[in-house]
Amino acid sequence: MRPAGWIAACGVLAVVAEATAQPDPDLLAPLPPGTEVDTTDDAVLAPAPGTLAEAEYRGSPQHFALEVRFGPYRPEVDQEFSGGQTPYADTFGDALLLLSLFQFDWEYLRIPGGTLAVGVSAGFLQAVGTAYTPDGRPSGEDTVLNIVPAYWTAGYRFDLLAERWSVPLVPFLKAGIATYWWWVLNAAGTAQWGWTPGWFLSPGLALRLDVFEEGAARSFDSSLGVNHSYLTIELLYASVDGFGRGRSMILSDLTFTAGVAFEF
Amino acid sequence: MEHSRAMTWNRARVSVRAGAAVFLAAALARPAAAGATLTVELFDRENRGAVDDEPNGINIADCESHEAWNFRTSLSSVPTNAHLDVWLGSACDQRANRDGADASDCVRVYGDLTMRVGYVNFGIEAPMLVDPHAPGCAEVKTTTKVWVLILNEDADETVYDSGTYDVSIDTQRPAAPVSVTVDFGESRAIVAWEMASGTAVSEQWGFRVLCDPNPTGAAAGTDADADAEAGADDADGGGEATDADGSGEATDAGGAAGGGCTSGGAFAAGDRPIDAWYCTGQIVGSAVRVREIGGLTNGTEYHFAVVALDDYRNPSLVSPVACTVPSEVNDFWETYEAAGGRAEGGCACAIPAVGRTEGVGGLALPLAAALGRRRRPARGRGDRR
Repeated sequence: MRPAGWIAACGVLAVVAEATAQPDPDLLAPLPPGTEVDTTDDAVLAPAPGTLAEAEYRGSPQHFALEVRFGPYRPEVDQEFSGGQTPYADTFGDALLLLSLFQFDWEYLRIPGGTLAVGVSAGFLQAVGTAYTPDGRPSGEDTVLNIVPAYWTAGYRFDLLAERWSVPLVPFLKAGIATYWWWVLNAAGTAQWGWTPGWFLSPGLALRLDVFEEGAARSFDSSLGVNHSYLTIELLYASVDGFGRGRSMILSDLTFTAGVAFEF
Repeated sequence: MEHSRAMTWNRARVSVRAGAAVFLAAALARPAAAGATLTVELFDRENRGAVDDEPNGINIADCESHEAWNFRTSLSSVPTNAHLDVWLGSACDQRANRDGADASDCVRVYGDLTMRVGYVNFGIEAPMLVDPHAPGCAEVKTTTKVWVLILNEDADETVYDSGTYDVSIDTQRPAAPVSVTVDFGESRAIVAWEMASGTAVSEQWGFRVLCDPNPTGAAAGTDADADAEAGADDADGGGEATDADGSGEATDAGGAAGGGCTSGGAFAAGDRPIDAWYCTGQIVGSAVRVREIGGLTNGTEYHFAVVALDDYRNPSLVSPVACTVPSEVNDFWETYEAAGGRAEGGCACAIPAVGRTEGVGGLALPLAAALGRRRRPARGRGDRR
């Protein structure tokens, strides 16, 4: 190419470059030289709503969930007996026990409308009562029934409303196998132990807390990787009777639990 | 004038020399007083493994056993025309307190102990330390000062050197627990007690329980403190059961058959405790108020009382006595079985037979298989190396 050709080509490029270098309407206009900027003014530094910086926030990856729940529980041990025998009520009374549960879920699959998860949860229950003599006199000794319930869970969280329309309610359903380990204590130590298998079903509703304090939620996510926080309440129907085989202590109950959950 | 000045100067020099000679003669005649520089230390106590074992002072047991307290003092030189005495009392380095004129004067324990360079040993029995004027074990809470005095052999027995050692003494009994309750269990009893409100913490350093019959046998007094460490508050029963339940409560001055007792026992409220009655070690802690006594025979009436221990380990007099009869009791599993419960429990339930792998059993077996699969390759790698 001749020199004249080079010159012409450069001129065309310069014109095109000038044409493409139009100011982006989303960007702030450059300040005139010599303008002083107050760096303490948040309005100067914060991105305006709808700008690029805000629109690109998508949170950290989400794979797991942790829950801590509590609720009343009264194992239906006496359901096994007929003819008015109530050894559980006779020993421990009618008071409700405190069920404390800790759950870990792996949200392994995202499907339309929500997530599928598998997990495990375990907790603790304790009933303490007075030991009686065979002729029914109360002694100074206590007897204790300890129960460690464990649940092998499959669950579905329907979070479409929260994700698409910012409705902070996430219904969910869990079901799975339940296994309750139990042991009885007396003054000398462990008197007997065993376990009772069964199944459970647990529908519930979670209130996503992010919408109430979005800034804090984002900070929680960026600093700890917690995507969402919830208050949860769920119904728990635990049919823990050895699948009806009649050789296990019946520890079933219909109750509810409430607690907090975190997805991360 | 010059001559006269010389005479005066000479007279002055003569009188200075005379004074020095007199001073030297006096110094040779008796040792100069050196002040209170002697170190007196306790190097052995008959009832203690180490002299600094708690309690540091003399208690009732030390006194009644005539425990010997062995002291020593160290001399770097032996003065002449002096002797070494040991006195007990206050301000014994004052001549007026050693003349015996007053009943409160110091008491001489040793006179003219042999002095030598190094240690000079001497022993004093506890009753003498408790009351130098009338050796014995009267109830006192005081401090006795042991004086080691090197006294010049002059008319006034002036002190050449001295040293002291303070012996703390508490031979007063603490207040006894005001009430005792006892509840029965299977081969055990749960004894609980209360102290009067306002009792000083130092008066309830710990407690010991008395049992009759004593399940620990004749050697009850040697019950190790490990017994106390087993958890004095491990029995959270101990309610105030009524006599109809076979349990007793004693809040008054006891008596041969009070507190739910149907017969007289070895001890009664207000007795001085003896070692053979103790069925626990020292239960340490002023807040401890309950103790489970195991190893009892069901169907036998047991008498229980408690003594408080003060910070000198002095026991109180015996508290009111309460009785109970240990009896067979059913735990929940026994109640469940007695009602006809069919749960198998234990290994029979935890390891299901073939074909009964429901529940976690069904999950546990695949899990075990998975673990086994994870281990086999590891062993294989090890074999290949």
